[in-house]
Amino acid sequence: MLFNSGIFLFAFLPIAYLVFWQLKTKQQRYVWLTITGYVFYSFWNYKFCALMAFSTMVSYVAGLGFLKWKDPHRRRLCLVIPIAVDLLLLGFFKYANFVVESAETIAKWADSPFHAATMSIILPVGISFYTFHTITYIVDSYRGTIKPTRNFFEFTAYVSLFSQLVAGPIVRFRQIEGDLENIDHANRWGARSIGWSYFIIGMVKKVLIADTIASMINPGLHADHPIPTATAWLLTLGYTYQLYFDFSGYSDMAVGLGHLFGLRLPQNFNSPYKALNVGDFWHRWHISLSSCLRDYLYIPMGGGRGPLWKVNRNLLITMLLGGLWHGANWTFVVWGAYHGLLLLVHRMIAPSWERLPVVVQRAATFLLVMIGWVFFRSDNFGMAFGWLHSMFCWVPGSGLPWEAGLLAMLAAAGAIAHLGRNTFELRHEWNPWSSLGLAVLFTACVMQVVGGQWTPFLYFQF
Amino acid sequence: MAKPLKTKSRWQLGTLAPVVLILVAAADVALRFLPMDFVSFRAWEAMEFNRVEGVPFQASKVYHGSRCFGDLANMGNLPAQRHYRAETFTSDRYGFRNPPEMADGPAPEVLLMGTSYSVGAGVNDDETLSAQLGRLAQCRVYNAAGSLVKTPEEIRSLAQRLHMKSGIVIYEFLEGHFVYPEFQDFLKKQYPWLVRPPPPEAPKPVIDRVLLRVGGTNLLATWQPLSISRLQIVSQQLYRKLENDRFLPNPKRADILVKKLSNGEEMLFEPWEAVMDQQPRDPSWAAPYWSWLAQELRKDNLALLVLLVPQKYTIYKPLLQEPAPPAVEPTGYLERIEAELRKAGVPVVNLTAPISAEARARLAHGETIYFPDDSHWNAAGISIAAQVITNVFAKPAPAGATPAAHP
Repeated sequence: MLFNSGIFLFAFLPIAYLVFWQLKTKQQRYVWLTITGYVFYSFWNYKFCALMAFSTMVSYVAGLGFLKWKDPHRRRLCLVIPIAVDLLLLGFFKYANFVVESAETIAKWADSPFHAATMSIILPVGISFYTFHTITYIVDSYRGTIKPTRNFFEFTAYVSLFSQLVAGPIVRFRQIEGDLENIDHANRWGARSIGWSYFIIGMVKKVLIADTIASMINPGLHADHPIPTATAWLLTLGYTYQLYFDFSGYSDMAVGLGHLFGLRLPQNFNSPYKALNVGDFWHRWHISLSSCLRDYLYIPMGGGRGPLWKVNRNLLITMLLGGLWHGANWTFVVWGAYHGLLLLVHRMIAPSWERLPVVVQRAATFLLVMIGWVFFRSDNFGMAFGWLHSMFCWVPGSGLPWEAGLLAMLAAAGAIAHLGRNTFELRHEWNPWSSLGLAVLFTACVMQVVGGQWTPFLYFQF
Repeated sequence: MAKPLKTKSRWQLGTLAPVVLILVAAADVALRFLPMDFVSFRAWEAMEFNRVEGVPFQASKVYHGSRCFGDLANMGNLPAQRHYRAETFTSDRYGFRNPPEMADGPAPEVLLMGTSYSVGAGVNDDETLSAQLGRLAQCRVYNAAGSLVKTPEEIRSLAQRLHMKSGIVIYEFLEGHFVYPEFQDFLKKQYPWLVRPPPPEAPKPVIDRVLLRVGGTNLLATWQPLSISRLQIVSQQLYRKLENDRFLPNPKRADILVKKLSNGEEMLFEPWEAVMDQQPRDPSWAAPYWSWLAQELRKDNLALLVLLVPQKYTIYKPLLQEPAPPAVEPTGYLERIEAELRKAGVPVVNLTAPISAEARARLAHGETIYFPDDSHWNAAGISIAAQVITNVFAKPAPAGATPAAHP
């Protein structure tokens, strides 16, 4: 089920919302949020609910273990076992075929007779996200950053919260613990307008901007002839904005839904295309993921401490794994490596970089990030290198027939992304005319949804 | 102080957003009671909607549209290629395309079975094959077309309902039949399938099952017209206006071939039509099947006449500006079916040659015998078919008689 689908807007959300606010106690609301989360998830494939329930159960029991045992050995077991289970599940469902295929490719290069058949594995939607939820919970419990909950349904409500279940933001328990504890005192009316404001802005970003750009650039990307240079740049720019508006739109909708149920989810995008350097970009793009990678991978490896080679190694490993997290494809690994290298280079030239005018820093960062998206978007290296070739070696040819429309869309998207305030910078207190304007845009989105013109969010595949 | 707060709360998004959802939902529900005629671009969809199982159209319904256009222009979302025309489509009480009195008057002498070509997609009631043939041959022709395959039992049952004790069954076979899964399934299962009970139906949707359990067929019949969202159709139509290859790309454009005729006019085709003759087609099934059907019908004093109708692309391929690749087989598919049927003694009329000749002759005067924006023939094309069939039998053959094999 998608936030931008008829079944969600006209059936799931009204029922989930109205019943939630009829329930009075904490426990009732936890149970209801859990039920809605599992119903929401079952719309993809109800069989995978069992997988999520298993992962949840393992982490919950480990949390109880932390409460019960103080000796380091047992606590370590409570840390290692659930994380191993989670990573094994993630590894099997997401990376098993990738490993087999990669091994076979290497064997072919080495002229070895190795052959292993790939398995027919369906990737459970959102597994990368809820696995991170449970892992962060376990690690924070182990570190003593949070006190694990004894309330089973509070934990299940946290893991299966439908607003952030399948595409984030990756919410840590500590970020939402307070709101979950006070869920019986949540202010229904106070957060309603703010919630809808986030939700509508997110939907406009997704349905009216990202999807429109997508419909304009996809035919160009799938053309069976070399893309002319100017068009290749236009398509790259188009994808750059599409991805941002799609994913940040989803995050805004998730935050809005959280507000409607009395839960404040963290900010996931902070105007990333205004970043002054690549490091700054990662503080603004998919913040919940980059901060997780920092806190649970980069810093435990040593972070920025120690000799330079170690710091660089930590950075590269973090970015490579971050790339791989996005998908079982070498193009994502290369994208992660590309960003890792950019970060290393920036560390080396930081003083000179900062002397550049702000506009130049922003423009150069944007350009570098934009080039990276070519690997992110490409299905394989053939597509990526063909695309890059078109961008950097002159390829003549006529543009897309709808280029004027695309340019207009990109101008509007660019103005919002580079000059506008992001949703967390807005006050969400609208005067009647602005409210009415947003309601009209919302109607346009809903009509598009009713017409069956909705598309899945890009980050669902991760 | 109270007044501004009240005004403010009314215009808050927390109030407006649910109102939008409620209004859209209400509009969707209300519009579901609107007849399909208002959102159809031609008669076919409006007539087909809400039909009873086993018949092609809603019974006793009249559709009139003044700005109808072709299915291909619609499929490809090509407004510039539309050729607007008025269309009147009437169904009788059995759900076939006939004047209402046809179902109640004297028994017809000819029963016409076949596809949308025989139904007369895109033409008016008085221009259909049954209407033109009835006028030319001076006989009562019942238009029972609208499905690809009919079992002898179905034909027999229909003939009995119409009090038809004898007569001719004209069975149209369209060249492109093979692309339809329904026909492929039928061939796979071989001919005896036709006399056995039909295969079990696919499970009904949950909502249908619930309605059946609660209120039987009546509730289900009430639900079905409401299950299609008119708002969705309207919304799609509005969105398609933007997909004009100027603002937004038209993803449907690739579904249709736009070709120039030798006189410079553009004509639309379905892409599969253009590759139809690029693969071998086996006609060996035709003689056993039609012989068997003829034999079955003979038991009910019904004579069979097979009518072979060429696809639009077959007719206009030699008349295109841009030369098309030659067919992989030297003899046309319908010609080979015709030869097989003649050998087996099954009466057959192949329209390929007369229609091809007429198409060439008329194009010289800027006329076509198929709609440029539709996959079907137009009234002029149908009149050729009617003329050729009339030549086969000046008047309906007596009961049990076999029509002549040649026009």
